[in-house]
Amino acid sequence: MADMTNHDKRVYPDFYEKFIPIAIGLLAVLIFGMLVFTVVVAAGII
Amino acid sequence: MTFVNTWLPLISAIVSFIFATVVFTRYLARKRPHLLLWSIGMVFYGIGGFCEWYYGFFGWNELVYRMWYLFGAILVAAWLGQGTVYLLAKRKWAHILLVLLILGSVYGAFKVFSAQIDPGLLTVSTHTGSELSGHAITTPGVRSLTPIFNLYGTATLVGGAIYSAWIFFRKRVLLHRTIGNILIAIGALAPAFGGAFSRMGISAALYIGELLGAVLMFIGFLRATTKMKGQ
Repeated sequence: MADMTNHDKRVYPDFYEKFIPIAIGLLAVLIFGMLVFTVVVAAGII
Repeated sequence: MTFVNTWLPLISAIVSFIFATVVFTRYLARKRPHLLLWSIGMVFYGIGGFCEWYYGFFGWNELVYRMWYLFGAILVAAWLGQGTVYLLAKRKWAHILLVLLILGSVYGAFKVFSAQIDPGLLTVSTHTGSELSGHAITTPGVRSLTPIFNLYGTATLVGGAIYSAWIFFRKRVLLHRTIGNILIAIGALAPAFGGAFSRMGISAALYIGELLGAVLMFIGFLRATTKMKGQ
């Protein structure tokens, strides 16, 4: 019988598997917020 | 004169110049344009920090102020971001954007060095305390350049680092580059947040953000360029 477990799927160590998507998500939100803030400030200056 | 507005920016400047030297040495070995642009960007970062230290330590100097505004406030993020554009975008687009950036930088230099300045406005600026800020520039059309350059720089530098980290993570390859890019993204955002908090009245936030940014980007670069054990 064939082995049904997926031995081919590459993974990072546990800590990084949990931490990296959270960090990337947070950074995406932060950069979006910062860009909006910069546009608002720019509108104030211009 | 306080530790925050003298030694903090000086440490930022020293870290930035060391970082620029490391990146430039790598450029000499590999001849990749993004490394040259990052090293130029880190020299600008260092000039900004040096000018902040000078102002905190010796006081007002018009040339130092103009250099701080040009290199530290207008150009640094855009030139660092241009390096990331060379790393990720098609070469043709990177060349076009570089030409625009050079023209914009020359125009910015002309505007900054021909602007009217009133140093008295620095001391009455309530939210910056004894830190440098753009408030001393009274000629219209100079300070409005800053957000344009910084939008481009932040979007490309931070956006590029997040994008790279995501690509490596999705493929589950080169963990050191995933971590390095996340650190670079956090480091690149730190001065932007420092500036934002400074605008909200939190004194010292800008200089702390700049130091944090230089250190984290340097660590991120070293992490991204050094393989981890077992890889």
